[in-house]
Amino acid sequence: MVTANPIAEATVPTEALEPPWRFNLFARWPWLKRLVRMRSFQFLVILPNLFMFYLFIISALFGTPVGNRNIIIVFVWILWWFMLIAVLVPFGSRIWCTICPLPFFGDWIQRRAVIRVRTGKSPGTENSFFGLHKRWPKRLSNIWLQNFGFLFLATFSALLVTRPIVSAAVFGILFLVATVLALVFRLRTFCNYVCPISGFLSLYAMTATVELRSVDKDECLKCKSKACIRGSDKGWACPWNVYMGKLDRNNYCGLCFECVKSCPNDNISLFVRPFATSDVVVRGYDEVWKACIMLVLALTYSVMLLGPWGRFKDWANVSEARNWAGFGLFAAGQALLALVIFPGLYYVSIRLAKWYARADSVPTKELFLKYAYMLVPMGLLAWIAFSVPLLMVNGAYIISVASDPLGWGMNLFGTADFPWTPLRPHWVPFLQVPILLTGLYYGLRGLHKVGRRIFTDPAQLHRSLVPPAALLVGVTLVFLKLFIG
Amino acid sequence: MNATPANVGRAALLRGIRIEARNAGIYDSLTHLFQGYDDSVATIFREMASEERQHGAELERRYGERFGPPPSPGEEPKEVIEAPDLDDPEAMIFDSMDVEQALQLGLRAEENAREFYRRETARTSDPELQKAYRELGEFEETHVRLLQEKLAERRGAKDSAAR
Repeated sequence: MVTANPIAEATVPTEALEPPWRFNLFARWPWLKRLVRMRSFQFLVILPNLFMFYLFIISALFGTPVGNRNIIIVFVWILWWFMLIAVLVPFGSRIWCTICPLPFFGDWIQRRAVIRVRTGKSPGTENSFFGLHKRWPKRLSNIWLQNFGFLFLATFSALLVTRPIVSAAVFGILFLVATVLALVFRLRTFCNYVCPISGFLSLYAMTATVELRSVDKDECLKCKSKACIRGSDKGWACPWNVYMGKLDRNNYCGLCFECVKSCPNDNISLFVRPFATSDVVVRGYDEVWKACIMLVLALTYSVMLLGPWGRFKDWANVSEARNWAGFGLFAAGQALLALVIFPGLYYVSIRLAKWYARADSVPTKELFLKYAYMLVPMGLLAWIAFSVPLLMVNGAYIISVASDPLGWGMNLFGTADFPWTPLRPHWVPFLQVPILLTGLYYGLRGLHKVGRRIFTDPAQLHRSLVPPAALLVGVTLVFLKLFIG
Repeated sequence: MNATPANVGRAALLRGIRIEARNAGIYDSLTHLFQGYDDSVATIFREMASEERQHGAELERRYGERFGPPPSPGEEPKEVIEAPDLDDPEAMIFDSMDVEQALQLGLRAEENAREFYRRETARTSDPELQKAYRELGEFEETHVRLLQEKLAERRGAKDSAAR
């Protein structure tokens, strides 16, 4: 704790730093605990998704190349994306990872089992794993690869969201990489360090209204077996390499519920908690850059797909416009904005915060990392605001494609000819504005909360908040300009 | 067990023995966890497990001298005194545990134990129990010093390597 004025009488009230409420779901609904404790639980929730992915690949290979007539494009980039960003992440944390089929084959090979647990002595665990079980290189033990991977995919998003074959190729590569990495490296190396989707899920899961945590931390402290991370005859060692005893943020918990099965003290539960209030600690530069990249991408996507500037859209859509110079400009500009310009602006706001608060004793790094939390709820809500018109304008395709998933002229449910009818497009700004302002509110609230942990003097605290808060308001105004013109 | 002065001292010593045994088990678990991941860290935890067993054996010897052979271990101690634990839940993901941090983890546990026994010594008015707690506190003090020396040695080696 730092105070500029040691004789200042006013201090930030300590009760304000109390952790927020949480509600134990397993205690309220024991059937839910019984469900996730079933050994077959994860397999049963992945199976339908695996079938869907198979269907997507088939439709990409043999179905129509017209994007809005092919299920892989319509279901993945309209329905799945909206559900993921607007529903699953804010209300379910990393629940997508529970049902994600990408690591399925890797897990299967590593465990040589789909459902049952194998006990044994693979290094670090009480389970028997197949594969080389190697340690992931230390210098790559972060989310930088995921940052660059997502930025790379985002650069080619115009191709990805319009060409079924490109989407299928990307998913195929991700399946392959996940499986190969599982053979060489231990546990879910792919999910922890490589998967580009996992990167932003980890960041935005911080805001989620659910968390998997130990009920009583002291039980974990006394626990000799550490079965959550080492595994046991009841459950596999945590695929994410997380120790439940000290887990205090959602970022790297993939909600596989293996720890609920393996904990010998029945000490793990699923809790409901308030939105964007509990996990407010950003721990590394890789996470700060992830927050910057995501916010900038929400902005550039909004410019490309929702804005009135056709030229920018043509630059991004290189496969149709064939304007390689324009595409190069777009790709370089987006990368520069996400990796250099916006993080630079944020850095300047932190230097100004230090100067204005006269907080010389607070390391710039500490302030830079901690205040970056404000970008998390703001980024998530900006993405939701961007995704709302996608669903409202293009949602009708979901109904028609459900009946004719491959674009072959089938009519499975009698809805194949459902016309493209945008759903109340004039409402879009009226939804986007409150969503964006909610992001601003939670961003500022989070900033204030984090600040209270650093400064005890209220005057100093408030001064330190002004420059980053001004940046956040500026970002909101840019989005508002884009959304409502 | 009646609360006679001899019995309270005996119970305190017995609790000390069980805490050492429990902690040896926790260090064993951490040893396995880091085996194949970072063997140098695993080695430190193995050494700590072995030290805890030595501490337990020493306490058992003292117990034996005064009260005869200790009873077979019963329930796990309910307190969390000295229980060593990973600080960082993401240590394995981000590979953030090194030898120095492993030693610090042990040091913190021993310091907590020392403080616990000091507090208990000040709080109790029973002279026999006071004596037992003081003895256990001094015992932990030697562990603290041992770990501090190891840490200093480690830092010294690191500094000279850096030079």
